[in-house]
This record gives sequence, structure tokens and C-alpha cells, in this order.
Amino acid sequence: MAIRINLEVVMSKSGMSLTTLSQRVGLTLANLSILKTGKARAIRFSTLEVLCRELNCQPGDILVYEEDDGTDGEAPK
Amino acid sequence: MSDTNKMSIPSLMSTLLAIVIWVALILGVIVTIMIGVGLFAFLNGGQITIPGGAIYSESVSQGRLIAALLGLAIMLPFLVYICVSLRQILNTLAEGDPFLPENAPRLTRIAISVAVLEITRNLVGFFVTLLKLVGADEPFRFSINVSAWVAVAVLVVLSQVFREGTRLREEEKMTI
Repeated sequence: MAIRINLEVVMSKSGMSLTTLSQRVGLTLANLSILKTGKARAIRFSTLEVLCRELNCQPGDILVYEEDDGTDGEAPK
Repeated sequence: MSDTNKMSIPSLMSTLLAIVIWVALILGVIVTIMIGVGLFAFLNGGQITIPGGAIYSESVSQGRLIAALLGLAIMLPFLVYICVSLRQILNTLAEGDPFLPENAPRLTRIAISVAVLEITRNLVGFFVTLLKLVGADEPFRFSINVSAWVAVAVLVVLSQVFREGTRLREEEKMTI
């Protein structure tokens, strides 16, 4: 996918574990894990907002655009 | 309370369908046996003797018995299959999530089954007339059951709606 989730890097920079972040942002560990591993199809603004607030970062730190060959990407309907 | 009512309607319909399936199967077996006995009696000169009585089949022609047996053999499995598939869909609805990947293909298969039933109804009639099983003076009359074909179209559309619904549900699940 062209958009990559950089959550793991941001988390390690702020020294926060997945469990702690999960408790602070009110997301389940499973959902946060889906997000961290890049399996999520979309992210809500509200989720992004709480993540940025707790990790003290900008959305651009968490989401990174990377050029790819376009084979696994899918245009939104 | 409204939630309980919402849950109870699919469950009730599912139970009713289970009863319909069993009744259809039992009736199918009984009717098959009766037609078989009638056919056997016909081949045996119009009468067979069983312990305690005799069965006569003089008033029914062999052609009608074969046509009925052929029609039943083709239609009953499809009818049971449609009921079983509908029940499976209702069960998923009763469990709270009908937008599962398997429901859209189920609806497509029900639509195909209805179409096959409608086509075979005419084909059986055509072959029965062609082979002069019922009577040479009864010409084959091709008929189109508009309701059945409308049902097929509705089912195809519904299956596409379910396919899209399933895709949206999956996307919603993976939206964090």
C-alpha cells in the first residue's frame, strides 16, 4: 500500500508501549495492533487525533506516503 | 424490547423454514412412494396386491405418473435447497450479522435455482408432450411465469447488494 503507518517508530521515539497507548487512546490492543502492522484499510480522524495527542506528534509522522508499483493499492469507491 | 423482537422474527422464520423443509421432504418421500406404487401397479396390469388389500391405477395414465415422478425428482431437491439456503441466511441474521461473505453467493445460487426450476418446468412439459407420455391430443404450451422471473431478478439484485454490504462491513471492520 502507498500509505504506510509509521506508528511503531513514533511509539519507540516517545517510549510508549502498545498496552499503554491502547489504554490512553481508548482503542483495543487488537485494533491498535491492526493499525501498527499496516493491516488497517482506513483510519478515522478521531483516532489520528488521539494518537497525535498522546504521542505528541503530527499526522505526517504517523502516516507516510511511499511510491509503489500500484499492484496492491485499490482506489476508494 | 425492540431488539428482542428484531431478533425473534428471523429466528421464528428460520424455525418455520426448518418445519417446511421437513414437511417437504416427508411429503416428497410419501408422494414418490405413491407414484412409484401407482407406476408399478400400472405395469402390473393396473393392479398390485399388498397384504391386506389391492391397489388399482386404472384411472391414471402411465404418462402422467412418469411426468409427475420426473417433475418431483427435479423440483424437490431444488425446493429443499432453496429453503435450506434461506434458512442459513436467516440464521446469520438471527445471529446479528447477515453481511457475511457466504450470503451473497447463497442468494445468487437461490436465484439460479429459481431460474432452473422455471426452465425445467417447461422442459419437462415439452419432453412429456414430445414423448407423448400424457396424450397425443394435448399440445405443449410454453408458458412464462413472470413472477418467478421477477423473483430471479430481485434475488440477483439482492445478492449484489449483499456483496457490496459485505465489502462495506469488511472495510468498516478494518477502519480504526
